Amino acid sequence: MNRLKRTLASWTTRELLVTVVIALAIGIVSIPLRLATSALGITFGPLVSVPLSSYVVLGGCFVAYVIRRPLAVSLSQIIVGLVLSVTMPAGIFLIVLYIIHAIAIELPFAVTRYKRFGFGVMAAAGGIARLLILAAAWLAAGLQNSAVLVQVGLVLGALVGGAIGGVLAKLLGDALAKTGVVSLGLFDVEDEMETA
Amino acid sequence: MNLFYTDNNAFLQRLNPLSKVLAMLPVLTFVALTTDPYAPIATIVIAALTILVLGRVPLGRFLKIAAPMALLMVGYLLFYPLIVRQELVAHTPLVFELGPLRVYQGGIRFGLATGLRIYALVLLSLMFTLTSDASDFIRALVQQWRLPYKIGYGALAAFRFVPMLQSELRVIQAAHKVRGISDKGGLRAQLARMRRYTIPLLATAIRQAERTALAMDGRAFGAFEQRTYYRTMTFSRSDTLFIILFWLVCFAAIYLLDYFGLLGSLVFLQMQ
Repeated sequence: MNRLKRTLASWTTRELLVTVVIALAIGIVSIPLRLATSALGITFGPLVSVPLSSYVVLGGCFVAYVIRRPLAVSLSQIIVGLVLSVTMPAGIFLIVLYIIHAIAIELPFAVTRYKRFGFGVMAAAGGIARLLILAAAWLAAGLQNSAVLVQVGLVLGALVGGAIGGVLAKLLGDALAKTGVVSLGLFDVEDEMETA
Repeated sequence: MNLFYTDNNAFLQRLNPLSKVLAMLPVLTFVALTTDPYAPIATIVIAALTILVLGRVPLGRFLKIAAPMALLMVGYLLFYPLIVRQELVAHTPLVFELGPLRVYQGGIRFGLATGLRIYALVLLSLMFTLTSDASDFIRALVQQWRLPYKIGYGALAAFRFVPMLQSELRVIQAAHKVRGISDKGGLRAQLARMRRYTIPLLATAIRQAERTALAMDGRAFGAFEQRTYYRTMTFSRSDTLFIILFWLVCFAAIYLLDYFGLLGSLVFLQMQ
């Protein structure tokens, strides 16, 4: 707990705001995509909407790729959850959802100690994160009662969709780095490891 | 940034936002675990009445926000009867058959229960969104639940970024239109557009965030571990009263449903 507090305390205002604003910008750009996948979900069911919902890991994976620092994903997702909780009708439900997002997306990058960001790692991280998010919604959506083939389809869809989200995050991060606005590993992970 | 907040100084609006969170969370968790449609229906009724009576939210405004979300239910009602495991519902009457597709009454009930459950969760959340001021919520999190104030005020700053980012996105869209880039097309075009908009939006957003951070640091933000507050949030007797009453009403509804055999089994009991 103390280590967590120290890690949080070591964040400067600049690091905090840049991290949050990156996740917010991705969230705002993906609103039309969110609406489109929701509409497709209502029309064609979860088998179509789950694989297409890779944008849910895009923001978190992108933050992890650009910032490359422990708790960056969690901070960005929790703050985005707080912002959305009062700007979207689903409110508190979204905070719970984004806390799940924070844990699910942070976990794969924490396993690699925030040091490996190749295509394979990004795809695996996105896929695993999306799978964890789906697992958290599994009972509330009653998916345990669906046909086995449907369950397998959902798991595969989440894995593929999440992997695409992870890869898109890397491509987007590389494109952003080319503009010169940020350098990848914006707030160096080595510094953080030393202070923690 | 209060898109849904109804500022009318009603009982719910005067409460500490955290008391609404505390009142809601156990109910939210319980409803998420129910499998029959009756508990979600009871929750929908309780949440709607609380919003309308204690929050004095105008009926028209409430319906304008709550009704479109009912579309979610339609999706579940349409598809869940088709994807439910046949052995779970095959003992119930067959409603219709179309080639290999068989829709049983049990399947429809399952779809209805799932749709109502999700809708009940959304309406419970709406009780918070319609009656809580965003800034007060963050202040309460920082002052009562000891959320590090750097994060709390980071979130408050983030609220201000949302309209700025939205207006910046509109400028980028207009610039692309002027250059003759079409804004029509399907999902693939949507993705291509997302890629085109994201980079300039991120570039502007990061620059703006850095400027804001500099301004905040210039005013000694984060310089001290402890800080004072211009507006202090309190947890009054009416907050405690609301939490207890809300729990009591929900518990009474659950007890009555159970008494009449309408509660059904909870998810984890059903899995045994």
